[in-house]
Amino acid sequence: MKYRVPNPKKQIIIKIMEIKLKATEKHKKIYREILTSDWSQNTIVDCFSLTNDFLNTSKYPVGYSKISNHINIEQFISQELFSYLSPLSQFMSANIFLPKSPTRIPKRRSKNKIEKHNLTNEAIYDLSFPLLLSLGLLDKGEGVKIIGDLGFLRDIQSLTFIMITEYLIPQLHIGKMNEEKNYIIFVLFVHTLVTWHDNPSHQNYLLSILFDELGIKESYRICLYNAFKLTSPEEHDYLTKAQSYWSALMDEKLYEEAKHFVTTLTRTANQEHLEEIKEITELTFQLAWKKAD
Amino acid sequence: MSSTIGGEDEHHDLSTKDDLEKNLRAEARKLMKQKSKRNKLLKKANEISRTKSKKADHH
Repeated sequence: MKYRVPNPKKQIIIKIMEIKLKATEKHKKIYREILTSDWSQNTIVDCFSLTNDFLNTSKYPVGYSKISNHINIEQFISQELFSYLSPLSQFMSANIFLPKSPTRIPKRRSKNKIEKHNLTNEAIYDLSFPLLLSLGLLDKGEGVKIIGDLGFLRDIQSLTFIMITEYLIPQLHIGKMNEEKNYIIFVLFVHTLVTWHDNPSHQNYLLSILFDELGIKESYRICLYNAFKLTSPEEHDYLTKAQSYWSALMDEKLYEEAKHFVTTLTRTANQEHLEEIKEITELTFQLAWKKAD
Repeated sequence: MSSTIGGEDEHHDLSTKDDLEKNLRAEARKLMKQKSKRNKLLKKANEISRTKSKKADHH
């Protein structure tokens, strides 16, 4: 398929590579198994494997494993992608207190660090998809259009996002791999802004996870509250979002706010949730009294 | 629009099982002092619920 871009001086032809992704029943089954399993360090590899298989369903396979045979992903991540995102990184580190992205990522030599470095590369590829692919192909004058089961792609990305914050970032922290750690934090932030712009509730929820990881407690609570407020009482995730925000208030011993919140919750929630809300209310008063004693 | 996740495999049909999230939330309430473990349970409950939500556009 070819698109002509109007240009007063010259007609430029941009070739568009159409990538159609199809989530099979097997992919969905694996997704559900990962989702409901006991999450561990290995779950991140399971997420990568599922993403890779899913992205390879296209006529032009675009999974990490296939693409890394065609373009130097290492180079694209450490140079091209970083140059592309760098101005945004400067803005965000100044305004949202994100850590500064690295100017370069050192060559890793130990087996353990190489393994973590490679996991970071795959995480960056999967969460910025299809940006890295576009950057790689645009050099050849091509564009990329992704169609098909994009909702499924977003769901795997969301799960991958959680696994990265649960397991990869702590490992990068322990290994003092600050360059990879700061880079992936930045990519996670951009992912929430770009991929979830049409779902502000989940966007705020993912941001809360990121701010929690960064130890920015106030932003963590604000994003959890936003995620809750943007969820209708009719939705399945309403009470879980409510409990997440309430837990954050209790962590900070903000008992008066927590009491006010559960009182409001009683008025807005559906009948089916009242039993759980009663438990949350009792727990609020119990823990507040225990603290007062 | 609820999700059709699960198909005929009853064990993996998440669409009608709010009990999964309810149990995860209950477990999380027991772990109020263990923020990391508690939040992991809530994140899982949230992801399961979210895929059933009206906003979900897949499966």
